[in-house]
Amino acid sequence: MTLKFFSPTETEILTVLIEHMVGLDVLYASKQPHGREVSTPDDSPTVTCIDAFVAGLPLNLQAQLRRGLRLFQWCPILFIGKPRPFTQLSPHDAETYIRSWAESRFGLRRRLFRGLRDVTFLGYYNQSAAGIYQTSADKPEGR
Amino acid sequence: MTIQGHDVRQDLRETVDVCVIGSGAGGAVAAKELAQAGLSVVVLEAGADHNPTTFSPHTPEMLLRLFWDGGMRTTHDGSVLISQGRGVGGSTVHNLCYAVRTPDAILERWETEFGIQELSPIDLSPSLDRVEATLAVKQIREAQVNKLNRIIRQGCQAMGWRGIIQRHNRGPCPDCSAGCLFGCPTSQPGIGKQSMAVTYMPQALEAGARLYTDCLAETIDVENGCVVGVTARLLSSKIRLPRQADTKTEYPNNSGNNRRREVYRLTVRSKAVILAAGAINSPQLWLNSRLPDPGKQAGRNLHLHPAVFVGGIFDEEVDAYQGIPQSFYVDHFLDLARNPDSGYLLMPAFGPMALVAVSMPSFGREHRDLMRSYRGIAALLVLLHDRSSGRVTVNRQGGPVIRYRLGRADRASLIEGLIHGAQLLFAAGAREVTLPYTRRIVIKRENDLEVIRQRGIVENDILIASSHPQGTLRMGSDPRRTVVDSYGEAHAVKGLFVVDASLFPNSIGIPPMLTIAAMADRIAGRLAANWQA
Repeated sequence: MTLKFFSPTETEILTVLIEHMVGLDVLYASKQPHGREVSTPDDSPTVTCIDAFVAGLPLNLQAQLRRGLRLFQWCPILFIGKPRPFTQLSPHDAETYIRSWAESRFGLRRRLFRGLRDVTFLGYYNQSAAGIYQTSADKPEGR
Repeated sequence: MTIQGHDVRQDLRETVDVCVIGSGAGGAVAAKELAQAGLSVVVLEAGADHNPTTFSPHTPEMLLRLFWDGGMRTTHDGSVLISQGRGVGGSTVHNLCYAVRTPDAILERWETEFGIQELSPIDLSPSLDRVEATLAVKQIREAQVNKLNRIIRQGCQAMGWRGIIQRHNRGPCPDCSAGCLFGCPTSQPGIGKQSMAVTYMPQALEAGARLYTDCLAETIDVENGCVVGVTARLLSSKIRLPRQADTKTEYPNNSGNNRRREVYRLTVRSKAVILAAGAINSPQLWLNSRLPDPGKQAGRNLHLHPAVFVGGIFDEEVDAYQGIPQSFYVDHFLDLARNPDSGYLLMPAFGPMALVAVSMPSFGREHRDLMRSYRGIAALLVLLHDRSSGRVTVNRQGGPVIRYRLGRADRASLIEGLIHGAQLLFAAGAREVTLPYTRRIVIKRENDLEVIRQRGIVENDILIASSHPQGTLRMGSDPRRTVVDSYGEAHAVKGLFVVDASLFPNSIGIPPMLTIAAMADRIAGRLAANWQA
């Protein structure tokens, strides 16, 4: 299915971002011993949901999100010294990189972290709104 | 009669007695009172006229349908998220029905400090009574108090604090599990949430008012110091996504992007204009219209009632999403008679999983672990009666720019409120308390609470939300300090009245819906009486 707002490059960034923000990379690592399960961007319901949501936002917010995604993709070298785009970082480096935004001294970086984080949560937890621990594998002990 | 803006294919003109901008807690009341008094009334609403049965539990969809900027409106620096309703009924469609009468201390202060005439508790009481009757305000019964609210009350009692079960504008209310926050799908006259969309607006239409939806007022037109009407733009309300049978992702475009259509305009000629677009959009419209304002006060004095989420994780299942989300609140720390400028409420808070996720700290595995406790979370909001004030201005495109920074005293109050909120949750049996910082801080016992003081309130480090912007076109007798007079009429524009929370001279400290509606009733009543005279 064709997305209405995100380009293929942005979709790839968003997909990797969702995995790290939501913690899917951890699940994949535990369930897929040979490495991360790679989502096909266009068939991810979370990406589709976020795409439709962002397409309905005012133009200025859309532009901010687009700039934010691209900035996030290309700054690992600046903030953690890794000469690779965000989508090509190892899971450990990706987490370190995201944390550098979350805990930055600069409000603007924390703001961008929050914006990206919240949009991924809106998409992901709307899709799994029936309950994060509906599957027995996810169910915490004692429940 | 309702005219949907997106169905219109030509420019339109209307000539009426009164044009009302906005159909929320203020606009709907004014429209109904004036139409019933025999005046010809047209109401302009920027959002859609929703059929409540179409309200869904899908958070992104409902954010786009019911909120300005899809719920993503923030202050200029991004530090405060501001939720404001858009659509017929305004914020009364998504609010949680607290129907709290204006505190006497607030009215007395407004009278003495701002010289507002005839606004004593006795003066406003008839308006409050009328509004309560129309909105079917009733005391919440014990059987309607859900587990979340019982837990908060239990914690409050254990701490020896004061709290009360509130009154709500709601009829018989089936258990619809968190549908409340996104508009109440059961809402209809007498049943479910009694928002303006199912109470005042239908009565206004029945009395002859004409309602334009998807219709964004762009300028208030003034000639020789007198208002002469409003120019508005008719909006496309749907973004045209392809049909997707397998997903629910065909969302409305409720944010004014008009990329696929020609723009049609509505020109209204009227003898009076009632401005009720809310405390952000009303000053925006005022400034875009370049209306005279001798004291340069329009847009200033913004108060937000900033609120921060405190979540308690319990071993038992709370299932806080079931039942009426807010019925009890703790008002122990809000004593307006003794401390008119400070204090806070502790209010139960919860919502759909996507919104709770946004209110949880951190990301990745840590966040996921917290979300596994979703059914065991009981949370509250610390809602601050803020002294700090900000300002609404407009950018080059005419959009609102909202500047607001918490002052030192308010930061201290908010920290104290967070600590008290955490203490309450521990007293109620929480095994851990979480706060919406970017980084998770583990708080497992009262001794850990000092970390909240150390962390402080830093912009974009902790999520601060606001649902009650107010004060940006404040009322009072002095044109140098205020924008409108004691009856809501602009000091410098004859025939222009304000009837939303912009009127409040300072923070009201409590949920404002009933006060806004009562002020609108009072101002519309006076206008109707003068008209007939």
